[in-house]
Amino acid sequence: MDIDQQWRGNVLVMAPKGRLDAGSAATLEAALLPAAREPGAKVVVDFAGLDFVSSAGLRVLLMAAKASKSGNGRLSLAALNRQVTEVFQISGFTALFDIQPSCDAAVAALA
Amino acid sequence: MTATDNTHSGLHRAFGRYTLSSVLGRGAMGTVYRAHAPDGGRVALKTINTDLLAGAEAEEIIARFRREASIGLTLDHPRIVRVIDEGEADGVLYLAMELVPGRELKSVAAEGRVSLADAVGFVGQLLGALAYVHERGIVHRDIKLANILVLDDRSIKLMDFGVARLPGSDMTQHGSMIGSPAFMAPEQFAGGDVDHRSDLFAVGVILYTLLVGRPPFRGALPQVMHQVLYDDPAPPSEAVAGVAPGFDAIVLTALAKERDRRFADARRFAEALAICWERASPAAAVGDRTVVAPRPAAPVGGAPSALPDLDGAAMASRLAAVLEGAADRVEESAVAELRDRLAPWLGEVTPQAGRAVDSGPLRAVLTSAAVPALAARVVDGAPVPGRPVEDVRTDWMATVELLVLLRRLAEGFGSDGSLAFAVERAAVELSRSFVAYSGRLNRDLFADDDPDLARIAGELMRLDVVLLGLERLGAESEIHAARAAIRTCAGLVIAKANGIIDRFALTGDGLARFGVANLLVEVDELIAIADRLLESDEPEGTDVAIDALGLEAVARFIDNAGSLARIIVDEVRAEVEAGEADAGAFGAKLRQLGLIYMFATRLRAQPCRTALRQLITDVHGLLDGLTEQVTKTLMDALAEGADGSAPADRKARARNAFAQLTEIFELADRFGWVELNRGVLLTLRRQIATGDGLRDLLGLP
Repeated sequence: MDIDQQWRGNVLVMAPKGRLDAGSAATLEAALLPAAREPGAKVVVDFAGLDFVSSAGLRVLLMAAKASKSGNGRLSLAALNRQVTEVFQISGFTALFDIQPSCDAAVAALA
Repeated sequence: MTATDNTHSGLHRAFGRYTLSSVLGRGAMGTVYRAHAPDGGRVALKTINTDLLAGAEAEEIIARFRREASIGLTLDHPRIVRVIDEGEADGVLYLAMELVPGRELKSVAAEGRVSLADAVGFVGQLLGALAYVHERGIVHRDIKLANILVLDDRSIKLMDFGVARLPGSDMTQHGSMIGSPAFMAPEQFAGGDVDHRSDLFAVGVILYTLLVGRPPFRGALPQVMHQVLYDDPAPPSEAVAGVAPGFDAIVLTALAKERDRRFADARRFAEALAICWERASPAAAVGDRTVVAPRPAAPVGGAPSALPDLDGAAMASRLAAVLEGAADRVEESAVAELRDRLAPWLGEVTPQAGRAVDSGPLRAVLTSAAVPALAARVVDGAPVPGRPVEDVRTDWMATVELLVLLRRLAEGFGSDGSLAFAVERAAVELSRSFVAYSGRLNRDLFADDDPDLARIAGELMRLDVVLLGLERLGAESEIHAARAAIRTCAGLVIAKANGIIDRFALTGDGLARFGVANLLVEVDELIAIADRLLESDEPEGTDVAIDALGLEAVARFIDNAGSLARIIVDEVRAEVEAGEADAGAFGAKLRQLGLIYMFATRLRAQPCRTALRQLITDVHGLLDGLTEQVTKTLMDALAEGADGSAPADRKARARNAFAQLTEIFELADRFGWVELNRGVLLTLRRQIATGDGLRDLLGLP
């Protein structure tokens, strides 16, 4: 899986592309977890390029949320499509993450 | 070893002369612990489970471990992780190392390009360490990003001498391949003799990666190997804007295919780099600054100097406003801002002397009716399983954070504890939902032949979210109860997986009717669920989990995993035989095998050791056989005109076989099976190193 990474001010934006399933979750995990673990880190995961998120993908996001909370960092998710929003609702993830309509909005909220 | 992990666990187990305090990392072969030495010093303790190694692998893994220890003990350099002690305790080999608070350079580099200063600094230090090592006649042979730690002060430390070559040793392994493909020099791939200049090639790969932001040789394994042998990467200054052309010569010299054209030794490499950096840095200071995108310095906010606001009344009204709006929605950003600004009252920052802090208004807010209402919303809006989506508060976690903040504030004031009591009651309510759900899960899984696994997975995920909330609330005994309930759920899920495997695989009926794919979809999902459920136990280790799952279910699962592995590999082999297996489907099936295998080997219950060893030996044998078959397919396809088929068809089959070998390599890499992978690399080398004739087949320009 390709993940674009970009610093916008003090906010790190990660934009994974394609399907976030059991096959690709490890790639996101390797990129996202160390970043989220940094104390005070501000990270946005941009979902605009993702068409599918499986439970293996949710697991990575949950681990990132844990890592971020323990370092008093902030983690926002941006531009979720309908399928992902539904999965998020069923799994209670909407209660856990700061969800923003677009990447720009998410960066603005964290900066 | 890294020490950035935040695992805080109750581990205080004695191990030989050491006391283990927490888990720093788990690999396929063993575990790294944070531990206390007898003298009270803190160390990183690396262990391997020798009894869980497949026959062919055991010897090599143990040899590597021993080599890492014995070479490490002779080295004493500030840029090399110090090995302190080695030995065996409770039948487990261990290695005690200096505990280094740092991150792998691999994860630093994964965040994008590092600054030019960092790139030069890291590589310069690495060359210093290598100069020391090489002077002793030792070749590291596995220099890569993951073997380098970066500390907070930007100094680095090199580690893992497990495959290093000693001077005059009989382990020169002439003609054998060792290392990590993306960092291996041509002579390592080609099976030639290896010397210190092979390490310098790997340093060239690292320098290129840090300067350009991506590795010089990219793609799948055969493509990487082909490029290493035949292609020069684009010079850094052409690959990315803003790298001074002076670096091109250095990188390309380090990456020269022939050793004689590389730097003669690490010192000369370091000198050339230093000179180039001196020339380049004044230009960088005046000129193009946009090119290097350095990570911003300290995080903003939370710095005491930025918080002169000690006006208690103003803070109180800000807090009251957030609390009042909380019925509608709590914004995470508002909580973060409050946390920063309240720092002087939270005991994190000492208020400046001479400035009285008026806490009266803040105390008043804490006793207002808004606080119990907030605690009630934490309970009623939680994403507990079964609660309709519209009743789950989307700001639930932020609400939890706000409540936690208020309790800390109250503690700081030494208040009467009513707030702490409200938090505790909320935690008890939340933990009840876990126990209630395990009962429902039992019905959902077993009452119906075809349970809705997607929905169940979603509901179980909710438990994880609520558990995270409990952790934020710091409710120890409720967390304990919740984890126990989660383990019960995991046990139910495994029992269901066993049931499905029994029904389909063992009778053969289901298999004939629905096929392996159908069986795997369900089992896959169940294992993924169980795996995740057990993950919340990570700090306590798997022993607790195995107790809860029940030995009988675990033993049955290990047996079943073996049957499943056989079914998967048989099917894959039939497809390879028939020439039907396209690489995508092949990879997907191997990954399923990986999931089942990794899960089974996580369940390291003492009484199941024999079954587990059997499983490991079986799966190793299966993969070995599969590798042999794919290798044969590859050779047949590459042998010109052997079967009279059209060249295009042969090419397609060869391409497929290359991709399949890559998949096998990646799986075996995850399992830590170095011997099997050595075989795969040798096969690839034999084909690719014969000449530059496969460029077109591998899709290279």
